[in-house]
Amino acid sequence: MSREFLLEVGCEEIPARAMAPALEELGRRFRALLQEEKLSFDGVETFGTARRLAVRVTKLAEAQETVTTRTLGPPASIAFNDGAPSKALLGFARKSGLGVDRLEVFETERGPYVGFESETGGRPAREILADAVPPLVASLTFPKTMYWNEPGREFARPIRWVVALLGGALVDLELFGVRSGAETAGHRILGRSSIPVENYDDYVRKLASNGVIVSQHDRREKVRGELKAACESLGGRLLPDEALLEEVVYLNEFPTVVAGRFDERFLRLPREVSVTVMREHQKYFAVEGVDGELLPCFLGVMNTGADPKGWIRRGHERVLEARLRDALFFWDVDVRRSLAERVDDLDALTFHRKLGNYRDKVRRMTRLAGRVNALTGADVDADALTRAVSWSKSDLTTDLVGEFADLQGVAGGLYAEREGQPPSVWKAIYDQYRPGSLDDRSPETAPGAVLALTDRLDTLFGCFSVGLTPRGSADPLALRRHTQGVVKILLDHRLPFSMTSAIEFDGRLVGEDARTFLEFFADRLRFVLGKRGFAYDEVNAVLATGIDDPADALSRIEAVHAVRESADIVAIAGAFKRVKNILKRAGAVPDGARDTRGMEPEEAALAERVAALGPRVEALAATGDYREALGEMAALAPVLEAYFEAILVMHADAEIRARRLAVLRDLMEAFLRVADVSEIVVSG
Amino acid sequence: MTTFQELIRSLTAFWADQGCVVQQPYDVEIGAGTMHPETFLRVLGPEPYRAAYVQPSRRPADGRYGENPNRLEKHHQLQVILKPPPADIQMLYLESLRAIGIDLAAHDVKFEEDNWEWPMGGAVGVGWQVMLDGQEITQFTYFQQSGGLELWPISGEITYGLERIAMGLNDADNVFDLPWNEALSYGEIRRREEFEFSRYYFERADIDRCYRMLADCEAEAARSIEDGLVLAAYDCCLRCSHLFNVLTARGAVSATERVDIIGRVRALLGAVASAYVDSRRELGFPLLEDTP
Repeated sequence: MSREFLLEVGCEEIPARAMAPALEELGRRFRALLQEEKLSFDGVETFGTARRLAVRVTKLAEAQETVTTRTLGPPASIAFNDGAPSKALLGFARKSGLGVDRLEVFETERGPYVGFESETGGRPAREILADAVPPLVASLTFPKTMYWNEPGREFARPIRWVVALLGGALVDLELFGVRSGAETAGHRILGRSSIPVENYDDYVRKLASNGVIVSQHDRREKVRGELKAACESLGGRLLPDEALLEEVVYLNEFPTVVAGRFDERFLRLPREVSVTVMREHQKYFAVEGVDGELLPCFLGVMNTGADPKGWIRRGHERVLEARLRDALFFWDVDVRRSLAERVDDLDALTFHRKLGNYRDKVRRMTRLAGRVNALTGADVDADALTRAVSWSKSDLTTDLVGEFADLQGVAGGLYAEREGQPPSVWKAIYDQYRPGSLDDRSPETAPGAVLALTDRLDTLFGCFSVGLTPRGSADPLALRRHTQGVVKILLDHRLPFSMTSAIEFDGRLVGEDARTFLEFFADRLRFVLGKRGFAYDEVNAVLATGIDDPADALSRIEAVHAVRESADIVAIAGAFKRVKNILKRAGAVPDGARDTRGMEPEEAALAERVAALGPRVEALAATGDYREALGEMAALAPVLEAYFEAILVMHADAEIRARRLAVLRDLMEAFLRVADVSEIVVSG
Repeated sequence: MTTFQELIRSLTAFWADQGCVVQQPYDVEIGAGTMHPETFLRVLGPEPYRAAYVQPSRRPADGRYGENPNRLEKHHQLQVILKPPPADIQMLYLESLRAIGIDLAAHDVKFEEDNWEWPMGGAVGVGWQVMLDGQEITQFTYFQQSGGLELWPISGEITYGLERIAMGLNDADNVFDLPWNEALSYGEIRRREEFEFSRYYFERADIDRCYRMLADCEAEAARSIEDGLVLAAYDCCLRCSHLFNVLTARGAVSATERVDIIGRVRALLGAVASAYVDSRRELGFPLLEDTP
């Protein structure tokens, strides 16, 4: 017998952005629970809105599988003395906590034994769910939680009702003081507040007639379809925004698109500003015309089915106009003072208590930018770079950024463009905070890359030098994100770099602080490469030989990834491991003579190949041709194999031993210019 | 048409029916209804309480000389405190909107995440901004901490932005066009005040003197705490807060000074909060229903 289980946790509005991860976690935890409890099921589905987290389990077993375990004691032959239980048997019975009369004789391959059988499992699903669901739900993670019914017991928002039905019958449980029942609640305005439900189908149907589309997929499709239709009737194209779409999908129980307009005079505002005002403040989608210019229109999503009196559209229009009016006012006021004039105001703007104000930061960045420019070979015009860096933070003093913080950087770029600065300057300022995440794009231009790198490096070096390092999940200054940003820019632009040189030039990170930072940096580099789809052993192989230059590491890992399955690499991985082990055991290797005279033939063959390999790998590495270099390394496999067959490296004669070790060391150094291939995990 | 004063009357009547003590605005300049002692102090300790009142709220930096149709140096909040919050508090809130004539079925109502904080008051809450057709009309908060103290029971706070609600009700694009009563507009009554105070806050407030007044109020607050006069100390802290806002609008507070002042006043407010709980305890928490 199997049945359907339906759970709905009814809440006051949970932040929309937290919903998708919460539902994902809920489903994952539920599957894990059922597997652990050995309750068989067909599927676990989660769905919900800001006001409800729901789970449906299909074909859930009525009870745990039962498992019969047989426990054997002494052989039957020694269990009885003349029909009476022997000492051995009594001991076994005592240990098992059973009377002798409960023991039986079982035929086994080794002959008859005394023992017993016990059954485990079989616990009803209803019981297990009643016990396990409350702690499971209570331990869901949310970015921010609160307490309401008991100090110290926290959830995203207060829980107000719970539906828990197994095969249509109530599962009695309690969550944060709320007892489960068989009544759900409809939309706050469009539905009834207490609706009895029998099962999933009934639940979905009744909620639908009470103003709630419970499936996030259905809501998403509804919004998508209506956005598309609205754009068509406006003769425009939607500016796609998946994050905003996800938010409105969970924020609204019955989302419906409402189209509105704003006065054309606001089109004078830069598009970035209007779009930010619409998206960040009002959660509206923007629309552009076929010519790519913004239309004086917006698409909002309302939490109801219709706008019969037009009040909703009118209300949204009024609010947006007020916002745009503010933005236009700020824009017009801000341009009265140039970015250069605003540099003086940065004195009053603290960057961090321990790291001075923004004027200090700009000064440090101006110095560091030159070195970053040189190290990356970006070869950005020095004068343009200096201007971009000097004015990069001026927009923090503008009213526009004061009101719309998300426009930092973008606003400065737009003001610089308006002041007549060339793209090398304004685009750099515009892009300086990119990438905002690993999914975001890097700065478009080389000056932008140099400025963005410089800004983050200054922040990172400063923070690590005064002990502001991320601890556990606490990273209030987003240093992980900044470091990933550095890596991503270097990789996206394929810029050479040397982190140690940058640290040395900056001068603030020394000794233990520098080591701590480099470890942190290696960790982030590892993370970014992993995100790009490289296997952990490829990452290990490449990073074992150096993290100083991420773009170089990327070239090397691409080569390793491309050839890792070839037979040669598999062979050389094993042989190289042996080389490393020998060298490790040998300790310091003196500089021995490499004279091949007097060498065994296999030894001489290897020495000659290794002598040629070093310069060859170096030359290939210089041009970035790591694949070819790996080929050369792999080609050594048969030579090494023959060598190890014939030669004992740790020869009794110290001189011979030193000579042999020196060759292996040269080999290792040549290899490590590319990758530590011994880290490659050979499959099969 | 719903006049501004009618709106206040209906909302107050609604919450009076819910058992709220109808209080009057506090007679010290403050920036929000939360700073009224009926909220800041009453949410502390175990005693249940319900209150509702209008609070004229001064935000010097938001002044626009009476020229901006949406921004004011002084606006009006209607503040409701329900301690502890009933389970149907959101429904009660929606009922109150119906009571002031909003046909909810013809509008778009949303509860969007907005977690409130008053750093100077060591106060933290979790909640929403309530959006009506895209306009934030109410701040809805479950208090978790005040004066740096964990709260038990918690309080539910509902703060209506009266001008914004009135603009929606009257389909007005300009706050100064709102009807205050049948005869006079909001602008006729208040525009000159907006102009004068904007001019004062942005141009004329004497920076040195305001700093001296701030220092005096701070000293007086500290001395009153020592004297065990909690309420007097609290008034002094409120004056500090307002002077700090005046100086900020005047552009006279550097970033480091800002951190310093907030830190000092927060310490005073923390001391006030603890002393207030102690003083209620000495009285045996008289509002507790089941005093042992």
